[in-house]
Amino acid sequence: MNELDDIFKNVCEIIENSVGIEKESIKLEDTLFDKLGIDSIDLVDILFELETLYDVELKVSDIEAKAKEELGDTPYEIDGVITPDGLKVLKSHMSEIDASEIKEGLTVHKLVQLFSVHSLCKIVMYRLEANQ
Amino acid sequence: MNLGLNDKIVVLTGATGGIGGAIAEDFLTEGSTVVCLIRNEEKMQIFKTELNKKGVAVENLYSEVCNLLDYKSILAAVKNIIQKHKAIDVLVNCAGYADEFPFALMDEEQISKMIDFNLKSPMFLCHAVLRPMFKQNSGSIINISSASATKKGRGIVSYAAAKAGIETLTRTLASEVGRKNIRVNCIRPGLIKTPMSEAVLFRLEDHVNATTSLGRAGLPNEISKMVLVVASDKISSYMTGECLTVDGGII
Repeated sequence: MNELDDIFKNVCEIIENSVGIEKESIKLEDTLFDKLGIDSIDLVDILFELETLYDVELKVSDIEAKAKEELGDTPYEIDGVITPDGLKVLKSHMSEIDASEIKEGLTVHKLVQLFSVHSLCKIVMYRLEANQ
Repeated sequence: MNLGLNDKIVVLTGATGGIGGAIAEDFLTEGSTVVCLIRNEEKMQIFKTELNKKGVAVENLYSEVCNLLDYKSILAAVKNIIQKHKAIDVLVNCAGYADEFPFALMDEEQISKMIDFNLKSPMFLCHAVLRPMFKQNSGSIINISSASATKKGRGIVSYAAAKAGIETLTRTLASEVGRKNIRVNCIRPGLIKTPMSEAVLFRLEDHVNATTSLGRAGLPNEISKMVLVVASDKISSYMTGECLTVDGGII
C-alpha cells in the first residue's frame, strides 16, 4: 500500500466517524462540499481528527503553499482573488480539482469549497513531507 | 448542589483582578484545576498567599506566563496546558481593561489598547482553545462582558464597543461550535466592587445605588457564582450563545 492509499483509508474512516458517510462509498475524487455534503465545520472537525492521528498541525492553506512557492515573488492572490498566474500554477498543482472551476474570479475562500477527498489527502502528505 | 466541576481543567485570564480572583477561588473550591494565564509570577504569588489566608487549597492552582496580546504566546501556553493537564474543559475570558475617557480625546494608541485587551485578546483565546476542545468533543467558554455593552454612557465608547463585540463573538461562535458539544456563553456584570472600579464607585456610588434595583453595587463572588453555574454541564448543558445579565437590575 503506498502513502496516498494509506492516508486515503484513514481520511475515509475519519469522514465516516465525523459525518456518518460510509467509508466504502467514498471515492478519492469526491468533492467534500458538493458531493459528500460536508460543511465548513465538518471540515474543521475532520482536519483536527487528522491532526491527532498524524500528530501534525494542518492548515487548509497548506495545499496552496506549493503553488505560492513556485510563483516566488509573483502574487498568488490580490485581496482574496486568485491572480491569473495563481490560477495557472493551481491547475498543475491541484489536478484533482475540476480544471473548469479554476477560472478567473476564483477566490481563496471559494477554492476550499472545490476541495476533494484527494485534496485532503494531499494536505496531510505535504505536512508529513515538510516535517521529515 | 454538586455542579460537576471537580476535576475540570479551567483556564482563566484576569485571575489577579477582583472578579477573576473570585472566579479562581470558586472553581478551586469546587475541586477544579485552575490554570491562570498571567503576565508575571509576582502577582500570582501574592494571589496564592491571599487564597491560603482564606483557607482555600491552592494545590490545584497553576499559572502559565503568557502575553495575552500575542497569539503565538497564547498558543504556546495552550500547548503547555494540554501537555501538563491533558484537556481544557473551561475557558473563562475575564481579563479586561477599562479607563473612562472622552472618545474625542483618546489617541490611536489608547483606542487600539482598549480593543486589543477587551476584544482581540479574548478572541485569540477562544480561537486557541478550539483545537483541544474539538478534539475532546466538549468544552465551555465563558466571556465576561459588561453592562456598558448595551447601555448608553459617556467616557466608555471604545470599552463598550469592545464588550459589545465580545457578546457578538459569543453568539456567533456558539453557532459554529455547538455541534462539537462546545458551549459559548457570556456574563454581563453591572458595576462590581473591584480595584478596577474603585475610582468610578467613589464618584458614582450614590448614583449606582439609586439606579440599581437592588440598590447597591455587586460583589465579585456574585459574578463568580454565575460563572460556575454557566460553566457547569450539569446545570447549563442546554445553554449556549447566551449573555446572562447579572447587574442587580440596572434601571
